[in-house]
Amino acid sequence: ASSLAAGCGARVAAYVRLMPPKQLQVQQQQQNPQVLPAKEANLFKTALKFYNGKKYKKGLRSVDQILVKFPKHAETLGIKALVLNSLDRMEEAHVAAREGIKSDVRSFVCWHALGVLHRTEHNYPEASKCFRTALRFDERNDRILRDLNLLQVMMRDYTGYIDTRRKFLEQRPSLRANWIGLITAYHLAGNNQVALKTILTYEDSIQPVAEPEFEHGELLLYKNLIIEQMGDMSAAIEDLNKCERLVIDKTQHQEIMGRLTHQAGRFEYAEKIWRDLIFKNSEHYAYHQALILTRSRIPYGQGLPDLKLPATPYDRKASLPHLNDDQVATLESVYDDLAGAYPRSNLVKRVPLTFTRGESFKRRLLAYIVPYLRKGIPSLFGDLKALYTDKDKVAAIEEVALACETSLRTNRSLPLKQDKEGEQESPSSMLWALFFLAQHYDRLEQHDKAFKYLEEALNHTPTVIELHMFKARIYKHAGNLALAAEAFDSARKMDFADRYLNTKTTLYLLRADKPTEADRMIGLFTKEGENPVIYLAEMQACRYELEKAESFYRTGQYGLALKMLKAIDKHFVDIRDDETDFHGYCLRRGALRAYYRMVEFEDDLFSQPYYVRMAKGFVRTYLALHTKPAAPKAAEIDEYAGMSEIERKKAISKKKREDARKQVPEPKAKGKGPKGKQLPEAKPDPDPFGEALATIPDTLKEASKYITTLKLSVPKDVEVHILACDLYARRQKYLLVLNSLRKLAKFVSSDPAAYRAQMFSLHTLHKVLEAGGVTHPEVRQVIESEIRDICGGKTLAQMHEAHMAQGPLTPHLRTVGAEVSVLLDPSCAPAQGAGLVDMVATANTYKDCVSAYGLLQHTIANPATTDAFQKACHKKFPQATLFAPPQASSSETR
Amino acid sequence: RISTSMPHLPVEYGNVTPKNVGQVRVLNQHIFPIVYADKFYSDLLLPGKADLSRLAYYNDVLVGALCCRLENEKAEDIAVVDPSSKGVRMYIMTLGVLAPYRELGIGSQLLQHLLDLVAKKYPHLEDIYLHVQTSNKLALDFYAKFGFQNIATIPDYYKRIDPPDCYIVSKKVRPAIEK
Repeated sequence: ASSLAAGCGARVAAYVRLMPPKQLQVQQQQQNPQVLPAKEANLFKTALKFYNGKKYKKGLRSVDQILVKFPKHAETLGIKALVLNSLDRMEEAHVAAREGIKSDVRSFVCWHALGVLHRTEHNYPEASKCFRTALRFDERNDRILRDLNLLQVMMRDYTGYIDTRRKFLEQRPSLRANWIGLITAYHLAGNNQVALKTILTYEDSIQPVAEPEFEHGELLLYKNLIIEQMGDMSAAIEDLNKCERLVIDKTQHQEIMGRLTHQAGRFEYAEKIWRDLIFKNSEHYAYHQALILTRSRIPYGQGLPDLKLPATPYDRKASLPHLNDDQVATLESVYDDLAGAYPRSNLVKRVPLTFTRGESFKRRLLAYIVPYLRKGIPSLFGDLKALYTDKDKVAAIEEVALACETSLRTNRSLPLKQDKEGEQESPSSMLWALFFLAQHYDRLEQHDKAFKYLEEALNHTPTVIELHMFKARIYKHAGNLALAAEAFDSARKMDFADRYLNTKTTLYLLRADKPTEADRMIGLFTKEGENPVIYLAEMQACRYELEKAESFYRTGQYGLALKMLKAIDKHFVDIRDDETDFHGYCLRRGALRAYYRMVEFEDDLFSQPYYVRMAKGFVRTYLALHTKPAAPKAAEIDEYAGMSEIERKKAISKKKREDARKQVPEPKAKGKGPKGKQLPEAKPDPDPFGEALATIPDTLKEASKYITTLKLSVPKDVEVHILACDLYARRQKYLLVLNSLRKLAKFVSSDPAAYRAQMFSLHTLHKVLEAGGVTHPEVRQVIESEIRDICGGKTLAQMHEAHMAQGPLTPHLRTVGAEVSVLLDPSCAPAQGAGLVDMVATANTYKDCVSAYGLLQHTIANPATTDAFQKACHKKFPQATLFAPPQASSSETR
Repeated sequence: RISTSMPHLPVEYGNVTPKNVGQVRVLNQHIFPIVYADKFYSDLLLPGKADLSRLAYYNDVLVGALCCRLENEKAEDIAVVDPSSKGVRMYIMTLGVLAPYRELGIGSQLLQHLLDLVAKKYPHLEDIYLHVQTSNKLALDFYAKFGFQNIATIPDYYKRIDPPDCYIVSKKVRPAIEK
């Protein structure tokens, strides 16, 4: 903020100096308090100098000196506000700015200062108002205009932004940046036509560019992007051809041409371009994706309903549309040719595995995995995992892998035909085959088989760290998170130099709900001499904070969970703020397309997975706090269950001590910060356990804020609407419940969780109507008619019956079915409980039984049934600690 | 891939470091019936002792390790043994290769490394020696191939394994040098 206001200061100085003598006289005659005598005027200039030189404390002293004599001098008060703002003394700054405005309501300095204060506090609408008021009193103030302009684009007030941008251009049409500013303004506002026209006008106004040069080339490609977005592909292709000579990055140019010709349906041409690009770089996945699509003559973006330009379908995440046999045969021969031309390319061998089927797939798969087994590349399974969505391929993979195993066991060879006689596989091929099979069976939830293969592999070569890591993974999948963390820690101990192992151990510890140990673990690799928790917050390590928040949520420590979530929320505020720097930077650098992508990214910021997880975490935690308001330290009782009274007291006081230590940063060595900069002293945390956060009066209102954001940023996320139903029902906002139910409707048939939310919400609405909870007649009518609409004239019981008859009766649906049945008719609880015990036999993983277990424990509450369920689960999933009989829970090892 | 007529595995060698000593522990625990104490591993990391142990890697996986120490009957602490003083011996604490990687020349290369090291750096040693369980025919043959001889038998040397007796197997260093 300081540098932003610097120009303003200079402007004030000019203002003071250039005051017309006549006006000066008049003001002096009236003893105007806004005019300073010579001595103070000089002092004022000194204060400005200090402020511009970032010597805020000295600046403050000079300003205060003036104010002793002239306490109502508005401009001095304005500068004081700016100085205090830079010193982070916001309250005093506000007082100064307001007093300044009170003494001279027409002081643009004070209005500008107040705007800067609001901007510092992220109150952009207020800041914008202040800047506009300031401009009323000094129309042509460049500095304020620039500040306002930045705010407008930050607020995406494009009408205002274009307006200000045009003013800049009018003032200085010779400046390239002013042209670029207006062009991007129109483009961001979605007015491609005018943006294009402005580019053309600009091009006419400058000397023709003769030599390729980055900035101009970028402008040309940006223009091309706008033409592409306007949808006329022939025009775009023609334009791109024209600018080829002046673009430096030929590969980019070629990629765009490939995309444009594909969009124009000129498949042959497009195919040739993508082949050329593969010739340049055969390991670029997008090139292969594009080749497959163009070679198969599949229109651009087919099967990708939400394709947003200039995003491309040439993306690893974009799955291939279904290919017919002819298309597959053609592609196979294309790739056989490529394999001849690029024998060393990995992708040329890997890509056909995505589209081939049957025997051809098996043959290629074997050829693909043999080098991995021979060289001992641990990532083989991770590489092939993407193929596991196809059942036939899974079977084929198993067949090939087992064939390798058998062949290695019987004659130490791999089943490849072209292998020479008289040679053997090295011993480690067996190891990697065993490792692959272990991972394969783990993926299929056959944990016993996975363990068997893993044990054999460990016995073969126990020094492979990946095997130990994988052991932890099976434990995790089988439901023993504590053992998983232990196993990962022993993997870690095999290589202390490996940051990945360290980080991953931390993750496993958090999953096992051991946050204190996790902090210590991650501390091994964070900056020396700094508290890891504080350091990671500075580094915006969202993943760590998120996992920790989720762990605190699981253990019912809601205050601490909220604290972590708040920290992540803050990162996103900061990321949003960081955008400020890029508007100027990108335009100055001429990186226009990157700039455009940056703005797009920022617009979509709240759909980032970490944000979504964080916001959902807030909603869930607040809902939990609504169900069970925070009682001080209630959480700890659970944590130390099973300990004797004395042990527990000891443990609790130990934890308190540890927590306190955790909160107070260790003393830092001075001058240890980057570039010898002294680090700011950490303020003591006023709320170390998040108790203040957990005891806010209206948790539901707080949760609603996040739901509102999520509904806009990720409208297709089922979970958001499920949470919304629950939240709005508790807030008695029934119309909003109905709105969420509408959003859920299309998921209900396939997603049991959505179905559950629907039935619970409908049940609540029925109850409310019966009890006369809605008095407004029109609202009541709307609710009734909407319910009729959703239920299609059936009762809830009839609906439920019909839904369950549709199936498929997955464990999830059966659990939800039981829950809804009991909700509608509590008397059926015993029968439903028995049904859940039967369900265990059909469960694939222990996770399938977790929510049913909760239902039995808390809702159906028949100890005999719960016991039977737990025993059945324990028998089927012996590793899962959740179902282990109490005394054996920790000793169960393999 | 390996030729069946001339089995040989190309391996790479490395030293024990504080970062990877955990792997050596896993390897030794797997190969030997004896569990070595923490001191065994921390001694490997003593300053100046790096070349007394050697690790064999195949495709970046640890498959074999040789761990030795210098001994002097008069010195209490092996950390301060002066290799040029009189009566210093080289003791092979462990030399092991994971079972699937045996008979491929790895053990021989590790031992040869030691012999070369001694010839080059410690020519004044008395001998290189080790303990071998009396029943371990494979090991006895292996060391005999390199000129080691049984010089004594210690009954009841091992406490937890059977048979409890061992041979002292030794190779004189000095005569070979003087020749």
